[in-house]
Amino acid sequence: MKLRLQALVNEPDCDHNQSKTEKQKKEACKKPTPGATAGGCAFDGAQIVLLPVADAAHLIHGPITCCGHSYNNRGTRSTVGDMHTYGFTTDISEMDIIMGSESKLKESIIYIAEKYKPKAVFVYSTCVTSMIGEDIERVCEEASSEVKLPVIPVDSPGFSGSKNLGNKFAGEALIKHVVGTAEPEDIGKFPINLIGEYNIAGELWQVEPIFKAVGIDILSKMTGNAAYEELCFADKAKASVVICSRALIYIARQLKETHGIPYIEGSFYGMKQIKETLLKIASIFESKELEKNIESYTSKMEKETYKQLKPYLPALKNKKVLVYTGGVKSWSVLYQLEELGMEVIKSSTRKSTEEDIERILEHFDGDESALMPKGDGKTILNLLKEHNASLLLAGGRNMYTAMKGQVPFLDVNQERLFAYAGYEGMVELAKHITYTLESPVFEVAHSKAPWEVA
Amino acid sequence: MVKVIDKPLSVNPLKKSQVLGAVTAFLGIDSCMPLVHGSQGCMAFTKNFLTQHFREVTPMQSTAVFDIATILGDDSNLHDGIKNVIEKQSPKIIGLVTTGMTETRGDDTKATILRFREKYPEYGDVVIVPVSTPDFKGDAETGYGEAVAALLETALSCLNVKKYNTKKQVNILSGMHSTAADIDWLKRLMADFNIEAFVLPDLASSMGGQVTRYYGLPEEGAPLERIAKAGGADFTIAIGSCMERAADVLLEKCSIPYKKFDTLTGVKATDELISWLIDYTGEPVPEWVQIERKRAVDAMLDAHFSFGGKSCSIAAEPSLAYSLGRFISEELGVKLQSVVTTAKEGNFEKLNAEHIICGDMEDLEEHLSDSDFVLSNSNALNICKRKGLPLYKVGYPIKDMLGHFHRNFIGYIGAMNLTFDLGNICLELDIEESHRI
Ligand code: SF4
Repeated sequence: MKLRLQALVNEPDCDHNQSKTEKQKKEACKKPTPGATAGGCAFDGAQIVLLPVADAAHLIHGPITCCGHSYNNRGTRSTVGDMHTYGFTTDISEMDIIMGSESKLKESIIYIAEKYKPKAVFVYSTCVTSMIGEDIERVCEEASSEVKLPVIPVDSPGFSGSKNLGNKFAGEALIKHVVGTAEPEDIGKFPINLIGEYNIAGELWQVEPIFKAVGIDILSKMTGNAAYEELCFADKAKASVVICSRALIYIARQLKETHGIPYIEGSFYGMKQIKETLLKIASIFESKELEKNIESYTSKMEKETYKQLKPYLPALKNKKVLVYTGGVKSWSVLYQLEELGMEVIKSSTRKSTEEDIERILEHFDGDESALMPKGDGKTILNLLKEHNASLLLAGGRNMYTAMKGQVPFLDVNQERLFAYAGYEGMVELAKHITYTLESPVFEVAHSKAPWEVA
Repeated sequence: MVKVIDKPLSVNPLKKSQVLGAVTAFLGIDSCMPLVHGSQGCMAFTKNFLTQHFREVTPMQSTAVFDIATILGDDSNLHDGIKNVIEKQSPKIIGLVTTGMTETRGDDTKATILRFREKYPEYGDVVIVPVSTPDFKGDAETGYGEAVAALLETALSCLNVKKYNTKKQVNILSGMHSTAADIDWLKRLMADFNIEAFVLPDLASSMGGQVTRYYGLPEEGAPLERIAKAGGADFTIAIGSCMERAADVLLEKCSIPYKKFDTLTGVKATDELISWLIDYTGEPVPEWVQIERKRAVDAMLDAHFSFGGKSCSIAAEPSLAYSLGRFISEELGVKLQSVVTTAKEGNFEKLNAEHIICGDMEDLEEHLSDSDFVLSNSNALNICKRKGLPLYKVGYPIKDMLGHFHRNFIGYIGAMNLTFDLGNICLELDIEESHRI
């Protein structure tokens, strides 16, 4: 386990990791602080990546907390199946812990295969089953030959680390057991893998038309709205596009090393970012044709989008925003807000990689005071007040922090109902920010009760 | 007979772990930090779940057991966790909730706390309440009940409890299924029967939306000082069978007699409570209570045309399933098709239902037969969509509906509201049926 962890933490292909000192490396995998943690476990992270594969079943091997508190609660949408809304768990009991539960696990896989007929079964180990030494890899192998379906072990006990590490575990499982196991029928002219887009609230459907319009073919989506089958031939793509840079760069790197597939990192939040990302792809394919398509399509869409944004822009102009979110969103959303004419006072870095931080700094012209370290609700509310900010943009957990502080809020977490990617998403974002900013409820909330008035 | 479907796994679990129940109970205590002893995920999932359910800030922390510590087993995570929580949040109470992982490892939390006390005498006045809540046993309700029992065991100081006023003092142990509206109703009722009531836990005050500023610890729930005085009460009322353990603690430690109400949902169940109050206090029944009863009965009369011949299924934790099931079948006249719950035994066995199952949502889906509607939590929505059945949301989690926590399920008013809500579901079905050409 330890060796494997070290290998996953040290991403040799990211610049920021290579240039790290030993101390920085240690910090990168530093332990959570007891009594002062936030954020999910590695198992949580593994599920974020794999659950969008909705024609595969996801079986959680452990006691009830892991599945019972989490299933049917992810924002990913799918048209290929509905298995992502199901919670399958071995729900192990005290007896199972004493006697071992490998046979129960195997029976569970068979049960699911027969009854729900998924295209594959992902099996997750969790803290307790990992501690008692259940050999899920062997069980998966045995069950697989019995049910004639791919059964993929995902070794992801929560105690091994944070959500980010779990993202990597999921990537590792895909590379080891899934990628390269099937042949696509037709790969198209410019076939890519789209890595790290999970179709939260349907964001993929805002991004897909863009690729289509310029003539890029998404061969394998990892993993938003993905069918299991398309993961199997990701090795046949000619380029990988990594959207959520931190979580799944592992997959892109493996695909490059073992199959020679180059990759780029990009974002579909913000019009400038969309264009840049597309042009990077074009440069991989060294295609003038593609480049031309992109230029004409993006300029058309930008014009169109600005037209649609027009009614909202006056209300947003120069309004100050505090961005408190993790990882890739901590910088990608800055570009969007900027294009809406808003001013970001600070962006959080608590779950960001050094690379994410670099990009935040790029945005703020190197001004380090724009970086906001980890802080609790009180710190967030104080900052908002201090800077006279109008909006908090954060994950759902902080929604009620904002409501307690009576501050307009925009939710960008995993369970949200609205999609903000691509051109369409820009307009959606502008709308929803306007709705919260202009809601009359804040005036009511700020008013004094009759008995409080002097 | 409670059925257990023979299968190796749980599909779409109804059950939530003891961790969830215990944390929920601690959220109803003023200035109490629930500290989940395990890896960070258990707490993160639980926090996410309860934040969505209550739509409130839900303070809780984790000891963040990480990799190596898991294998070695030592005090450090627990000690650091307690210390950091005290230093950062200054709680008066810490509710220390174990998980399957730390229980499997064999952590002796009581001994660890003793060592913490020796090492950090400066934190001696913070009450630490250890609760054993492995998630490979029990369910959310047992965890909730255990947490309240443990809290009382730790906090009760029976020595210096004297009666401090002339009013009768009654402890009300509110079960996990109580909503804010239920708790408020009980408080008003008790006050008008001239009783000084103390509700434990008091989720109505902490999670009901009346705390209007940001908080790092639950505020306005049951305060520690008051919990300690619970030992001087005259009587205890336990609501729901999961609160019996806690009532026993008060009985054994402080000789306080108690009465358990398995349900307060429905006219008959509320009558039982009111009769008891009349006997116990000798006070007249407040006028608003009398009016509420008349209205409830009137509502039931108006609605009964739609209930005849209907059937429904329930999937909920034991206390809630029993309360709803009894009212619906015995007072509304709706047939109970299947009752799915999370325990193998309990008073719900007495319900007159076609099937009583200890199981999951898959079992519910497969035993709906001709049910006209379903009562369960938000996770039953997918099933109801597949089957084209209306879902009346009850239990945990309710994540796709506003205001659930402010609905009454107990008392005459609860009977009236339920009659209207369920009656409207049935009335719509009748209208639809009648207009079908
Ligand atoms: S920390 Fe471990 S036991 Fe808890 S949810 Fe994560 S995997 Fe499950």
